[in-house]
Amino acid sequence: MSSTTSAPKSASVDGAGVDFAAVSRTRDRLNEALRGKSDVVEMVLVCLLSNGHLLLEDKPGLGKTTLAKALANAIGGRFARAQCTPDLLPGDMTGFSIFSQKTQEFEFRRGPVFADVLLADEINRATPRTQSALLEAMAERQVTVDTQRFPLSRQFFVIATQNPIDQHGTYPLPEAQLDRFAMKLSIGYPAHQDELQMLRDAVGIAGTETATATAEMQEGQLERIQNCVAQTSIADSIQDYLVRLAAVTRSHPSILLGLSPRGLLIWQRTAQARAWLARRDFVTPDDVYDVAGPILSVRLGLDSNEAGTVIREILDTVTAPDYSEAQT
Amino acid sequence: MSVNPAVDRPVVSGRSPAEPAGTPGAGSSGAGRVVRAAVHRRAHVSAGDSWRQSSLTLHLLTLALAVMASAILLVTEADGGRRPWRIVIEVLITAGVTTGLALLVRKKSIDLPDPPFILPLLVMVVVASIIQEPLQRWFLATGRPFEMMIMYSQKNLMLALGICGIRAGCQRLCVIIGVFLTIFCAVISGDRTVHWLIAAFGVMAIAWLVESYWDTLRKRLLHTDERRIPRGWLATAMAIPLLLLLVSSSAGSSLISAVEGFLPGSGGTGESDPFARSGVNDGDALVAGTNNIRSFGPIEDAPFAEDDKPSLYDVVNYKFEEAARKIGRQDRSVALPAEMLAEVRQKLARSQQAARQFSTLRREAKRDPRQIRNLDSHAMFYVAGRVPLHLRMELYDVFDGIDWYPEEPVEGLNGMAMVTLKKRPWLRVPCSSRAFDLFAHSETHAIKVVNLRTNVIPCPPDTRGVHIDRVDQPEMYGAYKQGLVKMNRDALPELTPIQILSERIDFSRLDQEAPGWFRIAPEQSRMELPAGWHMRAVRDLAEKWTAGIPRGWKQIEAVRRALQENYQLDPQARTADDCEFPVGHFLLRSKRGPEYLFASSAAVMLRSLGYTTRLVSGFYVRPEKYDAARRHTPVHAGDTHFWCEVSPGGGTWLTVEAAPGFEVLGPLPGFWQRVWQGVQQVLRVVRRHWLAASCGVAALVAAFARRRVLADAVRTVWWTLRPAGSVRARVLQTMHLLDCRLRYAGEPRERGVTLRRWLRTRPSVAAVSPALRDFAELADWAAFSRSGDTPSEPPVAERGRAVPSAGTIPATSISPEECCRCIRQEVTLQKCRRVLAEARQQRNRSLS
Repeated sequence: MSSTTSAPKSASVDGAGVDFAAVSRTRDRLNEALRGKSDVVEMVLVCLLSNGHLLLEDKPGLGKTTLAKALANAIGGRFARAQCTPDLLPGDMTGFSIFSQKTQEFEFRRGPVFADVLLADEINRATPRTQSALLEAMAERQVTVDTQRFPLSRQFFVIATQNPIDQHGTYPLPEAQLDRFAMKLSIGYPAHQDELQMLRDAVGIAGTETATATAEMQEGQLERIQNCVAQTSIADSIQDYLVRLAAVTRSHPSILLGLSPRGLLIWQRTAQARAWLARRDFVTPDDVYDVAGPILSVRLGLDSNEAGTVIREILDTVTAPDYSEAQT
Repeated sequence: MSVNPAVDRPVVSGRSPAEPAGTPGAGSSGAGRVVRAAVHRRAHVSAGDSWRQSSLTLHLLTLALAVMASAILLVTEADGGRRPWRIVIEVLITAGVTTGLALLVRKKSIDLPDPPFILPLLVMVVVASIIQEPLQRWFLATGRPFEMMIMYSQKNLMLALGICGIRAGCQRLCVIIGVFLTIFCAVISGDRTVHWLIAAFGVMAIAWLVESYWDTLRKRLLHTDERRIPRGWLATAMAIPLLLLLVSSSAGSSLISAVEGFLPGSGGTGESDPFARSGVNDGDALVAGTNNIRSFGPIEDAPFAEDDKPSLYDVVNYKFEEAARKIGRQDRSVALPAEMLAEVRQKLARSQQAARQFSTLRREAKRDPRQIRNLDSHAMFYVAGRVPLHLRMELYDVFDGIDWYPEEPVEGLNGMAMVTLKKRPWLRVPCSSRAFDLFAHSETHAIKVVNLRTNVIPCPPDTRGVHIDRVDQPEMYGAYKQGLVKMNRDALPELTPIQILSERIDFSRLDQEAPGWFRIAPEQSRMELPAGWHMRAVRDLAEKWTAGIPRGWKQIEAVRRALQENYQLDPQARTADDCEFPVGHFLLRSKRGPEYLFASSAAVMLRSLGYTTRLVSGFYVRPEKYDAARRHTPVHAGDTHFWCEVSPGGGTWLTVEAAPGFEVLGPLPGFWQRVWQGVQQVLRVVRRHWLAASCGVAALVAAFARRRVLADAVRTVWWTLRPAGSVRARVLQTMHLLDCRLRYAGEPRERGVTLRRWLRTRPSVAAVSPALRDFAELADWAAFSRSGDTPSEPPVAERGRAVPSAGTIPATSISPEECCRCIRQEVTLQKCRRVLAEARQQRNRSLS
């Protein structure tokens, strides 16, 4: 996979147009796979472009895996899936060394983390030991096995799913693990019309899932777009807004664990991605505001019932930068 | 769930108290080391103590207040005696030195929880300030008055506290002393510069209060809470004292200071200090002594050279013109009993010989300005104390139908004697009977004669004492008439303050009728009336006015009120030379005349009803002439006045002011009386200028009702005329205009909510103009983008909308300038109001 180290600020119109077209097609693919959930799809794209990892939490059968697979298919690259179970070992995720009778040496067998897109299905069913094996991979995009370091793909992207209902035999993700995720999204039930359409579409199709289509993004294109996103400008006042928001999470009486600096960095990057998707080269307070829910819900240790209320309270407490403060 | 322990204390370590060690992501990325090193140096400052240390802004503001207070004290002490630039230099030096020292102290003591040198420094400053004064008097033979010495020690203490203002406690004490010094200066200084400096001090004090409040908030409250300084309120609070000062300085004394009861009196303790600066309107410098050094001199040093100053009679004749020539065939009809006739005739002869009678029959004469020089421009004398005031100069008791004849002068001191009150010699004037209990309180007025030749001291009614500095021999005084004091010399000493103590009658007590009042056996000479049919008609008129009113003060008031309300004051009106009874002509026919006819009419009518009356001539000290800056009222020749006095008995005389436009000084009003008088004053002004007032009120009401439209019009005009500058500036200006319109329309955009988000929830407003959505994009760009802020950038339309272009103005369907113009023209206040009202109605309908 080729890498583009610096997407120029003055990117050519054609290049930018191609990128937008690719993202647009990816959006269409996801919307096709997950009907009536365009807002969720938009957040998934934000997460993807901000180079973060995604945690999908919802009831069974709502399309978490479908969405993950559709995304993996759309962005191309190597795709791997790990069905997390209690007997899944860390080595099953990262890979392990085996003795080769042929070469009379230990050879390293790469695990699913070496893919470009990893779907960790029902991650909370894996043991903490196995979950921890993903820590290094998600944060630093590398794994260390037997004192040997193996770099992962630069666009390594984890989509983990978990079921909040059936908690028997599960291991809740630790805070350290949750902090590695950029967002937590819930899909929710589709609307009436969307379910009708889904039923109509299913008529005549024998398999449960459609066949994998071609990727919408070329090799290295995602990384280039991610670099473009990173260069989206953000005003000092908005950065100050972000810091004030983070400070409020740290002193809020309902929150055990405030937003970490890493969480703050991720929040800024997702806001940049949101601005890029809106075809702007600058971030507005709305971008920060819009991604606040998925960003904060994954890392503030809140119940899903009260998360919305607390996040709303936090956003209401801190006044966003206003036009009147802008300097001419 | 635990409550965050860091809520009530500030962060003093590198790691936020809310972020425990080992917080994921806090240390590994390096962001957790944010300020640890920076604050490590002050780590030993306890967390509970750091809030007591002030911010640099507040510290400097405190210093500025202290320097301003010290400047006010300097100007006050200089009292116009020093050149302004020297004061400015001294103030600048003070400011520079204190600021430098403050920064040094701040630097040295920032790490110390409680700098040990503060208290010794303060004690040393106070002691040094007090020790300096005797040394200065001893060695340099110069010194300050005692009060200034104390104030200077306080000033030094204030500056020292300001220097040590890193501690919040020192700052507060510094400001308190500054306020005290300012109040002191405001009380003792009449310099206008001081007033302006005090206003500036007030504005700065408000700023200090606000900054202090926000500084405390910043330190004590949740550091994450939203804090925003209310600049609008701050500006308003600062504007109010400035506005008041502006009004008070520009409106003039007649409007602001002439309201009765608010004028300063004299008073004083009589203390004397050779180092005193000028006294507090007291003692030797009582009357405008600041402008003429001679006013400090004792009377024997004052000039007594012969001059052409007018006598009292010149002044009377100047104002009321000469008496008409006596008509030979006129038959005087003085109705006196036979046994008194000889005595009265003798008196009349004496009066006529001395030409001291006052005729109510006067004719127009050509004035010779040379006779009384500068009467209209220079005051004859000045009065300090409450006004309006009637000052008696002559008393008349016998009236023959045309002329009033003065009372017989009394001989000697007539019971007057010198007494010493608070080490000052006072001539005590004997009091008449106090059986009626009419007197409310006594008060002092002071008079300084500058241009009047008379030896009679102008005295207010019910004078009880006279004091002239160092005049302690009773031979210097004499009784002129009952209640009138003269000096045994040709004229009153010029430019020397004469203090007069008098009692004020509480006229409200007269309403409660006592049985003995106005029923004491009358004095014949003050009851006699001319005979003839005119007099009968006058008596009938008086009885008509008082029909049904019980005898007493109410009857007198009825007569006075009838004269004031039904007759017109006309100083130029003259009675025909052949008129036999000018009072009757005035009352029954012309109904207009000068004030002596009002006074004579009141006296005659009250006599006809059986009251003891007399005519008094003197001066009326007009409140509208009160000079607020010098705190005195000048009296000119035109203030010569006649009025009537009526006696309830026992030697007491009550002033009856029958001429319209003149008032009698009552007792000091209480608070609510002052308020009521203020209201009356306003109502009088309104009544006088009813047309202008009505138009003004109507305009104000209309402006208030349409205030939003007016404000919008003003803002729109300002938007149009204002230079646009860059595209970014223009967009932000338009955003401000739009914000104002939305606020005036009753649905303001909340602060921090972008226009795009706001429009999302108000689709009706978004539909007002298609340019709004483009403008929302432009507004976001103008406020939050870092680039592309000059109008010389490539035009937007060329780039199209498909691709975002970094660093330039966002692509909109119309150019930014055009978009701003569309917003101004299409998103009007009226449209916003209409669509928002419709949306509200629709919402209410759907809810119901």
